[in-house]
Amino acid sequence: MEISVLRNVLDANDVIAKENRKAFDAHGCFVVNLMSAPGSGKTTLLERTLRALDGRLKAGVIEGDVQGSLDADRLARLGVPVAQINTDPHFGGECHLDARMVWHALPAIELDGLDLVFIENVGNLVCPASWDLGEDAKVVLFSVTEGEDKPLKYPKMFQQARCAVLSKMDLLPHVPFKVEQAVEFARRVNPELEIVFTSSVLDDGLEEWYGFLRSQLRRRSAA
Amino acid sequence: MHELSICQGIVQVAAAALRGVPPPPPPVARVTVRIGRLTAVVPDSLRYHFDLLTPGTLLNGATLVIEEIPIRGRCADCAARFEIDTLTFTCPRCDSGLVELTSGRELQVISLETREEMAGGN
Repeated sequence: MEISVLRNVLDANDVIAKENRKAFDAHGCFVVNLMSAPGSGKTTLLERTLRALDGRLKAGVIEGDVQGSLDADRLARLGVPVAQINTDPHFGGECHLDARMVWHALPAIELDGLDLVFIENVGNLVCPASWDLGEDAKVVLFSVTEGEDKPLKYPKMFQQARCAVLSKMDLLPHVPFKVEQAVEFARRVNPELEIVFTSSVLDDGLEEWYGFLRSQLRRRSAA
Repeated sequence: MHELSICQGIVQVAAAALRGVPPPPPPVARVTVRIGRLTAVVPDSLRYHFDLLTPGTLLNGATLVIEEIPIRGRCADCAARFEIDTLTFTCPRCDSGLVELTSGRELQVISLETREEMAGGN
């Protein structure tokens, strides 16, 4: 006997993601799912961003790591609410966040009064792309030390992102990275992709990044 | 990397479907899934995790059948339809970047095939 099923494998995740989105919407939070390979500079970009917001916009962070709270500790020092998710109790350390983990983290940050929530995903360019967390926008970082072919190697990630942050631009004189080629590759997989070029250590290009965030917030409040 | 969690999803979805048939749940011979190439799921790894996860569940002894779905696109400018196998998401006919994906993102359980009991059954 054949039993027809025709259901999405990640249905269970998507149901919870929808609940997360409802909770974020109810509090008027704009949610960014920040993804990259390990070491591209997600936490450093967040540190800069939270400092620059300086209370003008209220932000919270949901921090995903396989183990430990080093990144969450760094960000909590800036006086913002931070919820830590460790993926290792689930099954030997998941390589991505899923909607259920985010749902469980919500009580640890007070959404009320927050304008922005950053979800820092586990460092990985493959798996996080498949799990909807209930975010408004996916943002992918990649650094000039990683090679310009990243968008072609991880197309799903770049396809789904609304913005790509090309980080560590200050290292450009020391590496053979071709910026134009990287941009061409990224646009090839996602012609609509917004791309900003940053150096968190030199405080360069961050205005464009904040500009992207502001435009997203405006777009949302106009909706 | 993500095959374990995806496999957990497959088992959950399949088990839910089995609860929809009159009890007792029939033994399952085959679980057919559709996996789009853009999901970056490695079929061998998925089968490996399936064999690890299913003993002790309603899918005990079942085989995982994977239908791999190519990435296909449709050009929003010239309406050409094409397969994308070079990871260049632009139209091969008019070079437009406005390509709508028509397949490649699938991650679905399609059907379960139950194992028929021996006729006579003693």
